[in-house]
Amino acid sequence: MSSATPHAAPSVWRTFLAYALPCAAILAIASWAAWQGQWERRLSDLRQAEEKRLALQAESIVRDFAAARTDLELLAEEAALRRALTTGASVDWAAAAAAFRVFSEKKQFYDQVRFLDPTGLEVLRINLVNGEAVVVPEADLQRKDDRYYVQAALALPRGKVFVSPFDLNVEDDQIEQPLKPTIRFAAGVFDADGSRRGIVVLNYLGREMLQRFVRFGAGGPGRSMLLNAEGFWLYAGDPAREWGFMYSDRQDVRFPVVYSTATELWQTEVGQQRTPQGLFTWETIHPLAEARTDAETAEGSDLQWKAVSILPEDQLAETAAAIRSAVLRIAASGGMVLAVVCWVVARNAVARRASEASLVASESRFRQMAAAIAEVFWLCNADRSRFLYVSPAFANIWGAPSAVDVIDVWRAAVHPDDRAAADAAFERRGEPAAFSAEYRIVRPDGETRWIWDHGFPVRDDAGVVRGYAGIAEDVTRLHAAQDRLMQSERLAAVGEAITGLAHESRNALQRSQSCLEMLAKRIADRPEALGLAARVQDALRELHRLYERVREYAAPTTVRRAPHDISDLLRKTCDQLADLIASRGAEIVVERPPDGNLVCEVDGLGMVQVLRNVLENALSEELDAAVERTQVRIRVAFSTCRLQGRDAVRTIIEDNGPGLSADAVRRAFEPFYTTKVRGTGLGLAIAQRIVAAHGGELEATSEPGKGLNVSIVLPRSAG
Amino acid sequence: MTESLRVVVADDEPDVREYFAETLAELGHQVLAAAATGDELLAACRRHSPDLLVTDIRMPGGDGLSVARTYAAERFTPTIVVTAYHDQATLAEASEPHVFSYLVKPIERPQLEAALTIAWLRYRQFSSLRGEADSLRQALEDRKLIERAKGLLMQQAGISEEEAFRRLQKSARNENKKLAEVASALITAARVLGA
Repeated sequence: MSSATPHAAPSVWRTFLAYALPCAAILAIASWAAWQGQWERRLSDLRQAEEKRLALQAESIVRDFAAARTDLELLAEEAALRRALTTGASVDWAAAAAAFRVFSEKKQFYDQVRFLDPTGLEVLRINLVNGEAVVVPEADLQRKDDRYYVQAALALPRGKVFVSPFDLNVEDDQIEQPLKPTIRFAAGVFDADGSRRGIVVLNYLGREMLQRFVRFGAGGPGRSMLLNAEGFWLYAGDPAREWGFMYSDRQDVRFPVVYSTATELWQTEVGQQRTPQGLFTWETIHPLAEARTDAETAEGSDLQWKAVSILPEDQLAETAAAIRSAVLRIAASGGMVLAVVCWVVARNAVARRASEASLVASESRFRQMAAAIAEVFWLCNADRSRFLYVSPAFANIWGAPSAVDVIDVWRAAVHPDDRAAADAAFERRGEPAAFSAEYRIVRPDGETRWIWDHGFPVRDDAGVVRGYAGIAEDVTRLHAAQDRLMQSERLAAVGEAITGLAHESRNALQRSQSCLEMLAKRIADRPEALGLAARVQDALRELHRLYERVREYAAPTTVRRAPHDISDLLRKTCDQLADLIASRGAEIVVERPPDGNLVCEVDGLGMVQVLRNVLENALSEELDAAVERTQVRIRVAFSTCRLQGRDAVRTIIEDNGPGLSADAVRRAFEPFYTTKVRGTGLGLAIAQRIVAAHGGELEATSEPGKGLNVSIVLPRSAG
Repeated sequence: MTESLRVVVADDEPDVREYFAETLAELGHQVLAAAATGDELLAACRRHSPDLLVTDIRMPGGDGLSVARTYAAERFTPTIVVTAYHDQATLAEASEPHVFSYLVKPIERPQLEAALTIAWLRYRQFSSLRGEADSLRQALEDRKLIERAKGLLMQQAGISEEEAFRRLQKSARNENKKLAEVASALITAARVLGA
């Protein structure tokens, strides 16, 4: 991309984005899917963990209950008690008390172990004080017939157990401190004949049960809670929330109030619910589920608690965030790798495209250029047997269409005289240097052109010549210009030589003239001799004229411009030639445009000379015989025209002589070329030089038998 | 032309000299000398004081134009130049008041004759004009002298212009001198007297 065009840089970005955006989208989707998946799995893992814990917790509660109920049944059937009931002897009652005491001390989780008579009076009571079971003396035994659980227990039929609600122990209308969560288990004691002898009441210390509950729930991510059927906390981890129903000012400290969003909790046995407050996992505990005997509670036969584990939302959010950040980290690193890859790919793609485009563009530019240039641009193979490319200019220059076998057409056109030079150029094989050759070709229309063919070898990376590339130029005009230059240089040399001869020739002529005049006087009486002298005089004058013509032609042309009306100049010329015109009886017709302005800035004397030379040519009597002309008629027509974008005046001088052949017309302006017997052949050449010095054009056309038509075009001004 | 002129000719070609001598004689003029070199031309001019010169330009021993120029400074003499050259440089050199005609060789008799006639005519007109100019100049000079003398008189003698002029006239008449002479003497005298 070293030659990056202005639109290449954003193009890299565009391509990059074209690759990167889909990748990014896929990456985003994949990341999102991964995150969701991870989250779901996490939640599922959590659910499973929580459920497992809750199951254990539930199980522990149920077992504790079962154990308590078993103990109750045991006590109800306690042998010492039975004997005491049968005999009523105080020593038996003491033994029963001792048995109860041992029982309580071993168990360690009954705050009170009591036996009450059917009236509700305590008969036996073992208190657990600081881990020591103490038999309460008879004097301190109380009547408890007003207690609800006593009443309920006394109403129990055989085989049924009364379980009180789990609440805090109240002593003297005050909640005992430290808090003593208690459940009272009671069952009736019956005789063999089914009469009630009393009830056994166990004040089960719930603390241990709760502690076990908590232990089984430990190690998990959530917060463990135990709720009763009304939603009050039996265990909340926060004492301020527990036992709300025991306090008059905590009647609304219930789980459904605080966690109002966890609605499903109260609808299903087991479950998990995600709410804005967090993740709730619960299991409903039926503590009385395992029972060989029916149990009865204050609320009915079914006791329901809920074991709940809460993962608060902020903790979840933390987890989610952790997952998210992990996913993002991976996505980011993956993304960066992808970005780099995309960038590299994009850059390469753009570079490739740019180079392709630039190749296409440069090829198109090459073709345009090759088509536009006037020279023939060619490529050929290493032995020049075949052209690989020839530009369209070939058709223009060779005058032949660019056919398949161009090389044959090319070579066939070569002028016979130049075959050798052309072949030398064609038959270079494997030569290391550039070559150059000039030769003429002959076009199908007969026109000859000079071709300058030059080229150089094209090598591959190893330096082997693979072919040649070159240009063939039409240098015809160049050659013509060179010829003209050489000619004018020759003439300049001639002019200088002639100028140098001026003194001598004129002096010689003067001497001849002078002596001839003197001689003429001396032979005035001898007419024949005088006649000879006159002929010598003629010849002398002609010689003089010839010299003057040549000097004119060789001398540099100076142009002193002034505005002249061309038709005026024509008139002056005719005045100068008046004698000749009269002697030839020539008729000169002048045509001029009606509103024509024929004023040009020209050298008056020079233009008179031009017109004079042309007219003299037209008036020459030598032309008469060829067309049997009896009357010389010359037509001069003036018109306005344009020459090379400038206003100009055209003068046409046409005679009714024999005209000139095509060859003669082409050579008419050549110095010293004349079709006449007596003529210097310089008249038209001089005229052309003068006209050219004015920036104009002098041309002659002729049809044999129809006279010569000379056209002089002069720009109006030098600019 | 009826007047017979005293002419000196110059050309390095003997044929041409012979031609000039013969033809000019036929035209009624006197050929006092025919010089072959520039030096001879100058010597002949000084010896004969001709009315007119006819000379070539390129000659050994000094070219005709410079000789004519030299001689014209001593004595203004109309010159006809006959030469093979007609380039700009030579023409420029020949454009001096004493060159009255420039002929390009080869020439024939009619051209020579015409040139002579015209040249002499022009010369005569030129001379009279020059004479006129001279006398005018002189008159102007005299006028200036007389004015100055008048001024001095008026100043010194305290007289009017008319009176001053009359005094000068009187003095001139009395001493049979020209007015300008008297004026000049007065001026000189005044200078000597320290006026």
